[in-house]
Formats: sequence, C-alpha cells, structure tokens
Amino acid sequence: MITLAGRLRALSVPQPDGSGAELRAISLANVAALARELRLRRRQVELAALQEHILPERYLRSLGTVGWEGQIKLLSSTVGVVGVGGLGGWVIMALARMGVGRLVIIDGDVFADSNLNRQALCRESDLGRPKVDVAARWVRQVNAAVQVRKHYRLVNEEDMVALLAGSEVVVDALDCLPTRLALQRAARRLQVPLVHGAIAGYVGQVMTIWPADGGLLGLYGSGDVPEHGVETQWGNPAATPMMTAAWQVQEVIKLLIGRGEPLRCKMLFMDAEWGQVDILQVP
Amino acid sequence: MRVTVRLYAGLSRYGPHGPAGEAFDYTLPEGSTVHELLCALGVPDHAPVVALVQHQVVELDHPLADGDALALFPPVAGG
Repeated sequence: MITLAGRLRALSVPQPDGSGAELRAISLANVAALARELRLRRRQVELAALQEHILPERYLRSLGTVGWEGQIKLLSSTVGVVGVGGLGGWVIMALARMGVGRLVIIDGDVFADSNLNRQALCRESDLGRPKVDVAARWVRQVNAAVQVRKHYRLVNEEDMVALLAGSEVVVDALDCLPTRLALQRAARRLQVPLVHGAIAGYVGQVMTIWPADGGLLGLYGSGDVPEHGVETQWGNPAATPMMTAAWQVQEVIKLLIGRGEPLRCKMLFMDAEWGQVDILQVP
Repeated sequence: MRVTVRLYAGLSRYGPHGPAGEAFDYTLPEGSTVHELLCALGVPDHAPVVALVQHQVVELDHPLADGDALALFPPVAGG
C-alpha cells in the first residue's frame, strides 16, 4: 500500500530555499490533486507534507519568517475574527495567506456603499451580500486549505463565548466600543489573548490584551460608553485599516508561533498624518 | 503647579512642539482639572478625550496635583 508520505515524497521536487540551501517542495496543483484522490482536506495534506519536511510551495516565502514548526503550528491553529469590515477583511486575507488553518469569522452585516472606500473584500457586485459569505468565498479562492466557520449574526458577550470557543487567539476588528468591550469580556472568559485594533482618520491603534489585563475595559471602564470614537469626525479612509490590520496580523502570527514580544499593555498609536508612532503604557 | 503632559495620536497637534509628540511640562493654577488643561492647550471642547493620570484612567473633572504625569488620547473605535 502506498502511504500518503510516500505519495508526498514522490510528488515533491527540490527547490532552492532562498538562503542557498535546498529543500523539497510540493506544488499547489499536486496538493490539490492528492487531496481529491485520497478524499482528504487540503489542510490535512499540507500538514502531512510539512511533517515529512516537504514544504507546500505556497508557503516558501513565509518559511524564513515562521520556520517549519511555525508553519505546522499555523496550519493547526484556530483564530477568531470578530468584525469583517475595514480591519477584518485585511486580517482574514492575511491570515489565510499565512495558512492559519481554521478561521471563525463573525459579522452580522451586509456590504453597503459606504464600505467600498476601504473594505478589502467589498466589491460593487457584493453590495447587499453578507460580509461573512463574501469573506468565506475569498478565503476559499486564496487558500483552500483554510477552513472557515462563518456566523452571520450580531453578537453579544454570551454569543461570542459560544462561537469563539476553541480559538487560540481572537481578533477585535469591530467598529463599535460597547461590542469591543463585550468581546474583551468574552476573550477573558475563554482565557485567550485578544488582538485589538481600531482606526480613525490617519490614526490606527493596536494592543494585545491578555485575559488578566485591564485592556479596553481598563481604559474605557465597564459603565456606559459611547458607541463610537473620533472616527465619526475623522472618517475611515482606505489606508488606515490596511496599516492597522497589518500590525494585528503580525501580533496574531507571533502569538501563534511563540515569537517576538507582543504589544501587551502597550497601545501602539500610528499617526500617518504626522509620521508619528507612539506606544502608551496601558494600566 | 507643574504637570507633565504627553499627547497621543491626533491630539499631539495641540502640544507646544506641534505634532512631534514628545512629553512637555505645563504650568497651571493650583487645583486645575484635566478639562481646564485641555482648554488651555486649545483642544476643542467637544473633542472626546481619554485621560490617564499617573497611569490611571480619570474623568475630565479630575483635579490635578503638582508633578502629575498625564497621557491624553482620543477614543478611537472605527473598523
């Protein structure tokens, strides 16, 4: 009987790894064909390849950053993304490209005209369609190894605890302060880190919040908070969510593979208008 | 009394160094509040601000003390 490992080895080819050494890689076409033939998920085939030290070629340019173990960890991970708007769209796309194996995406909205200026996944032909449906389709088209669990609904704290169970990291890509606070409480109950991002005008902010941290609850209190911040005056242009979501993605990847130093108790402010980047120590 | 002020994000334009964003010392009458400091700096009255004094969140009517260190930033919540 021919094993999966044997088939992977037979289909892999030598490939320069970029540092002058050589590795064995398998093309997307061969991964897809093998998954069909053996009735396996693409993710399973990619994981089996990595275990055999055969790199799915699609991750070649990530290898120097995340390493073999890191790529296995990413493909084995589950990340929750709450909000599929300006931030969430970019976050989902980047996590899919990095090969984060399972995404739980939650949003109760449909795409509207006012999303077209900045939301990565929103095309004119998507207006009126649920954001999570469009996002799931994008992920399938970009990286079919990634499994998406989508939830088209407005959520409260209890819902988020239920829907995000099993996520190792949760991303706050929401657009309203009370729901962000509810999400922090949910992440606290699930005992998982939360990567917060928010935008207004040229300003983006990012912070990673551990269950024990004050985070947004410490900053904004747990009493009555306004729905929105200064973004109602400063607007939400195209580049600010890209800039901010990019940092959120870096935080998620670092947390999953255990590299670097997260922005814990540090609010990173990026002010693109004045070229100013600051870190505020948050209690 | 003198306090040390650090303005973040879009608020830094109201500092004496313009948008450079460095901390600066500011002299105020005894007993002034955070709100009075904001007015003195020229921050528009309607602008929403989150204030930390000695690393603790305070209301804008919080009275300041000599030597206090303030961090001020706008609530940013868009996505």
